[in-house]
Amino acid sequence: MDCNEAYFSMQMKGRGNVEAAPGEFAELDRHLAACPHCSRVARSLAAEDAALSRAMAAVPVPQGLRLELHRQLRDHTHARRRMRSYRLVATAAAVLIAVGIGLGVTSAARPPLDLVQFTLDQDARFENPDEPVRLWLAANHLPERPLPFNMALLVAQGTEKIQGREVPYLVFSRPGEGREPRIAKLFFLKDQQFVGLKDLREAQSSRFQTRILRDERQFPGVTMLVLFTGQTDDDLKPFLLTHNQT
Amino acid sequence: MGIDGIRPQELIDAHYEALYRYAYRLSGKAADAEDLTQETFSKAFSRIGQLRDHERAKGWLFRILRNAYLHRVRDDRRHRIVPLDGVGDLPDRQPEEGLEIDSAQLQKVLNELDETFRTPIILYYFEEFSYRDIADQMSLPIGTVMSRLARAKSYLRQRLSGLDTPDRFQTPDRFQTPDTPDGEPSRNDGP
Repeated sequence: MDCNEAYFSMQMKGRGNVEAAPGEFAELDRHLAACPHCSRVARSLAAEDAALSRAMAAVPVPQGLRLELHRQLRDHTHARRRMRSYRLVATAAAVLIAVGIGLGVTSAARPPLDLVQFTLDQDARFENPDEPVRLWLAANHLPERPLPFNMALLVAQGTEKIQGREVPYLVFSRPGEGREPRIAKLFFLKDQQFVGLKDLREAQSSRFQTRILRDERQFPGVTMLVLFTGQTDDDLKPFLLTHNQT
Repeated sequence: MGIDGIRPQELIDAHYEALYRYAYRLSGKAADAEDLTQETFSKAFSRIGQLRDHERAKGWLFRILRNAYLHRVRDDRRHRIVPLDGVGDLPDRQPEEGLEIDSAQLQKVLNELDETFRTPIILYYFEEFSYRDIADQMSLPIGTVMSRLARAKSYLRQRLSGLDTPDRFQTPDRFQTPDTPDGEPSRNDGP
C-alpha cells in the first residue's frame, strides 16, 4: 500500500463504516505504523473529524421550542378528537336522516289520522254492523248478501289456508255458561275451488259441531261451513238472527 | 398513547433537539429550522400509525424532516456541486490537537454545498449515522454515500482550513453549477 492508497483507505475507514469486516483495514494499520507522514495525516483527520462533530452540534435550540411542540401535539390531539366526534355525529345524523327519509316516505303514503272521521266511522259500524261484513264479502269476491248471523257477535274475520287454498271466514263469539266463550266460525267454500262440496257431510267432535249451509239463491256456488262449540243445533241458534231481527 | 406504545410526547422529548439542529444545518436559518421541526412533528403525529418500531423513530423523523426540507427547496436553483478532483490525493498536513471550528463559519460552508452532499455530511458528523443509515435516509447505494461524504469532507476541510491557512490542504479546483457539463457528478459516483 502506498501513501495515496493509504489516504483513500483513511477516508473509507471512518467510524460510519460499521459494516467493515474485521481486519479489512489491517493493511492500512500496518502502513500507518510504518509511515510517519501518513500517521500524522491520520491523526490530523481524526482531530478534524472531532472538531467538525463538535461544531456541527453547536446549534442552540430555542428555549420555547419544546413547549411549542407539546402545544402543537395537544392541538393535534384535540383536533383529532373533534374530527372523530364530528364523524360520529355525522354518521348518526346520516342514519337519522336515512331513517327519517324512510319513515317519511312510508308516512307520506299514509294520510294522517282524522280523529273526527275515525269516530264517525266507528259510530257507523255500531249503527250498521252489517256494512263492514258487506265490504269484506265484496273484498273476498263473495256475494254481498245479508247473512243469517248476528253481526253484533262478530269478533274476527280473515282467511285460512285449507288444502292449499285461502278460504275466507268470519268468527262469532258470545259469552258461555262457564269461563270459555261460545264460538261459531263460518267458512265460505267456493265450488270452483273444491271438488265435491255438495257431498260434504256434517261432522261432530267432543267440542265442535259442523253444519253445512247452502243458499243457492243468495250465495250461488258457495258452500258455507259453520263450526261451532256445543253438542246440538241449539248451541248454534244464539249466533243466528231471530225472525224479528231479520 | 400512540400505536404499539409509542407516545408522541416521548418522541418530542427524545428527538426535538436533534431534529432542530439537523433542520438548522440543512436550511441554515433558525426560523426555517423551527418551522421544519414543527412540520416534521405535525406530519409524524398524523402518520404515527406507520411507525411500528420505536427503535426506528429517529431515522423515521429525520427522513420526514429531510423530505419536508426538500419539498421547500425543490425549485431552489442555487445548488453548488463539489467536484471529486483531488479528494483521493495525499495532503501534506500536520496533526492539530484541539482544533476548533466556528459553528457559524461551518454553516456558511455547508450552505455552499448541494443538499445531496450537505445531508450526508450533517448526518455523519452531527448525529453519527452510519454509512448504511445515511444510505437508507437518502435511498442511495452505500458506495454513493461514501463517495459523497469523502467529497464533502474534502470540501469542508478546504474551505474551513483555507480561511486560516490557505495552503495547508490540497483543495478542489473550483465550484461548478449543475448547468456546467463538466461539473455534473455521475449518478454512479461511488468509490
